[in-house]
Amino acid sequence: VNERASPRGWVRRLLEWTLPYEDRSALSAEMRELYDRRAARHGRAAADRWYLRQASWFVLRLGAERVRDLIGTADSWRSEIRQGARTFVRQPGYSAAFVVVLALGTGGVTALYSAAERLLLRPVAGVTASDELVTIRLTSFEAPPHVFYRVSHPDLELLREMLTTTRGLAGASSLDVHMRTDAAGAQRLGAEIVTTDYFDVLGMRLHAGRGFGTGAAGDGTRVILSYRLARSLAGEVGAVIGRSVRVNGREFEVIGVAPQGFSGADLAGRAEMWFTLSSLPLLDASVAEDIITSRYGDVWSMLYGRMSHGASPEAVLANVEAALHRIRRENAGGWHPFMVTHLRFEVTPGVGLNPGIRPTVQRTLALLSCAAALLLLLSVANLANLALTRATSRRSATGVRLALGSSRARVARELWIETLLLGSAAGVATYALSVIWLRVFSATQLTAYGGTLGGLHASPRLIVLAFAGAIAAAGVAGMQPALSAGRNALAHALRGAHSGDSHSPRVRAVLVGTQVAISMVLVLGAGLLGRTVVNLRSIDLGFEPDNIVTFAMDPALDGIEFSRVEALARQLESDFAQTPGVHAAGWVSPPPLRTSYITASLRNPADAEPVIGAGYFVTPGFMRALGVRVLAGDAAWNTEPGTVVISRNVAAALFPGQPPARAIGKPVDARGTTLRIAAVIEDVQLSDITREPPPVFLRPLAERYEGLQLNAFVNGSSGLRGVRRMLDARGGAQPYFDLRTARAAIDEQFAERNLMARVATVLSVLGLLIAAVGLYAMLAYTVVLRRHEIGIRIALGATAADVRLQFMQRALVLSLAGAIVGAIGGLAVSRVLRAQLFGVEALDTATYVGAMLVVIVVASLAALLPSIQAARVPPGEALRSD
Amino acid sequence: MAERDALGEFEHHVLLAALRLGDGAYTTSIMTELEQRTGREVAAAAVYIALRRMETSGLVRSRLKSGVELGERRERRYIRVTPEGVTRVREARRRLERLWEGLHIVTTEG
Repeated sequence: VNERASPRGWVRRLLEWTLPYEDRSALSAEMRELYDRRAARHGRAAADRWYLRQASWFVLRLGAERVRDLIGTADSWRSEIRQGARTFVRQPGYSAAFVVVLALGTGGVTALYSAAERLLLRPVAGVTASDELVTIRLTSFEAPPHVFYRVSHPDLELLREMLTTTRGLAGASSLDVHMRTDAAGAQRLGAEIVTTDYFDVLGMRLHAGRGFGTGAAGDGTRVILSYRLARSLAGEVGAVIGRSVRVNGREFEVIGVAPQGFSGADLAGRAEMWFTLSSLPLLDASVAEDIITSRYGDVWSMLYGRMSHGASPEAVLANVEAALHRIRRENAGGWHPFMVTHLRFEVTPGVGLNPGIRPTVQRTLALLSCAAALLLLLSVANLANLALTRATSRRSATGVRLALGSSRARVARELWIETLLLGSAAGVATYALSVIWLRVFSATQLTAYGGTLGGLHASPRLIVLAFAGAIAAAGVAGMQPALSAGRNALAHALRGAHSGDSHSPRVRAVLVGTQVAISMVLVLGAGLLGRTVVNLRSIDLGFEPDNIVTFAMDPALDGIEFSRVEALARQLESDFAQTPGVHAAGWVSPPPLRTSYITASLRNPADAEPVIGAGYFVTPGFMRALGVRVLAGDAAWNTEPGTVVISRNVAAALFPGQPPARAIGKPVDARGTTLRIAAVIEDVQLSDITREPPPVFLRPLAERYEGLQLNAFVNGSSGLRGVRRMLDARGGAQPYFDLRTARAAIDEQFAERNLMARVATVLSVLGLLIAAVGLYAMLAYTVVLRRHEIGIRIALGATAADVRLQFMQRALVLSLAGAIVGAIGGLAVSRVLRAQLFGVEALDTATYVGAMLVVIVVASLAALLPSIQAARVPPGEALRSD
Repeated sequence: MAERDALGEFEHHVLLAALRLGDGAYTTSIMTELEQRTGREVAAAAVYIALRRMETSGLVRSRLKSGVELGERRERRYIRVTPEGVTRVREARRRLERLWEGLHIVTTEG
């Protein structure tokens, strides 16, 4: 045998890899023969070159041919789609399972994407060239992002003068107003006070009418309405121009209508009306007339700048920082020392979601998207398994078709088309499901400081997204079976249906293990977040928020003079007290149960330093409605003028080492006014519940220095509906708002954690269900595949218990392995979640063990039925079935 | 019978080469035959794909012969032109002849 020269190994392998299986050995042998001849005649180098050329042609031409086969002709597509549709109808169980599981996976992702799009990605309606815009806020170095300070109007004008990097600088500040119409009575609406150039700086063309003109502070009697409000007032939007609307008891002339969909440059805002600064004293009697010229008038909470050409947000920041130095210098006399040293400007590119809550919203949505993506991955793994099982069960049929001359490409194409048809059906379901998700969560507040998913609706983009997502996921799930379609199918068909299925059990086990692992991660996340919410809910607040219904009123906005407010409050209080089911009712101002409070101070005349804490002004019923324990003094305190009720920690700070009773009747100094202590109550948390209760002072409502919102506390068994009925029975004299239980108000403080816990729970339940179905399907299928083997085992004397044990064991091993992998994945998840947790460690052993138990119990339940079925295989039949 | 695609030039060549080789026609022998007769390098891939396509449309038939039958250690896929294939080659020739008719300038100068 003469030693043959051989083409370079990698080229040979390339050729062999390209050639279709059935011709591989024949053709490569032929090509090698030709190569030998060439090598003998022209030398090895020339033969190598020739061989490489030939091999490349094979790669190119066969590749093109394969693509052509896969694409097929229009005719073949039509027939295959028809064929696919027929299978779809003929196997409704498989189709339904596929569609439901797929839609569950994609629904969450699409819903969250829409939420993210609405809050974070979408441009603000009507704003043009938003890349030239910057949002500027005055914040402090230490405060959390949602805390902001206001800029006075003279300071805004100073900024305008000093900023060389901006072409325009507008100010905005939100407030609530009450609008009264003959048709609807009084309505509470969001509004903004803006500078006259606000719409110009945003590059906005009003939908109708004109803007505020160019005056420094504008004409105070004019208002611009939102498109929505204009439509609700007059059928035709333009018709509202020139009409007069009554807001906070004053008449304003409508001069313009904002573009459709615009509700302020802040996406978390919900402004329906825009006024100029000159309107502010008209809208709010407590605001002085000189607000426009006063250096200390806190006005603008948001500044929007349009940058000059070539300027960057960084340049604007440098610019405003220089300006801040001058503002500090000029304000030094009037500013609190804290403000002089701690304030800074923050510049954010663009306009959109308020930078104060943007990070929280981003984090929340990112975490939720991760969870939804996990569920999608889980459902794709489940579907891949389903598609694999189906392809395997059809192997014989495929083999026969190949034997009859169908090409493999055609068989693969059919499988894909079938999967894609299922994907499109799932697209419809995905769309429906994401609309439901959005509905359920549309009222949910994303953060404690605002930002809801409200206003989300089915957009064409969402439809496209739902379909694209579902089809892509279906494509991925159906890929493996389609690619391997018909591989060795001929031999398989000849050998018989239930043998030779050698490597797909392993693939299937991995797929099921993956599902268990992912559901473990989801259960862990839900467990940690759920425990966080439970912990937050079980904090001792010093009162019981579940029996308290709270709502707010703003009498000043209804034109009620402040001197009459207290009388009104007392009247309502006694009305409520006589209502059946109400134990006590009372009023408090400023609004409690928020994370922040308005500071007040009391000083023991003998001390230099005052005790600083949270000050509330209340009516006599409040203490009873709150249900707080009175430690000493007058339990029936009637808010006599010049008296104060203090919490236990105030008493301890004012009179160290003495029992609370000793504080009663003692005089204390409240910024120059002497008050007498009437009672000492237990420490009570009316603000940020994650902190220690601050010192609390309760003073008579009549001593409140300005008319602000009043909050009612109604304690009793009447419930939300009862309170609403009572309020509605009074007629629409004063609009009430924020009606909810005190518990709901407190829950809002950790809105994002609450939302995350709820979504994570829903996702983990769905995940567990899908994984359980996946495990069940795999075992049931294995039972069918192994009927023969089981029959033999039973015939040889294995008991039913042995067989059951064998299958249960398999399920347990698989789910345990999955759960362990999931727990390891959970370590990463808990790291991410750490900042969201309260009262529970990220690596909390109990949660890990609990999650693992849940997963394994669910897995065992899923495995139970197939195991029982396996044990029932009659040995005789199993042997005959071959 | 419905109108069918005219034979492409390359397929025409491959069919002719296969007819010439008779029982000895397989991918590389056809390729070598074409190279010798046209004096140009031919891609084996082109021959292979043309044969596969013509097999699908029934112009040729193939049979895999194992080494045992061949008396050697290789296997080969032998090609035979079907009667349908022969008809198509004839049609192709007739079409060409009709095109050549009366073109004396070219023929005389050649």
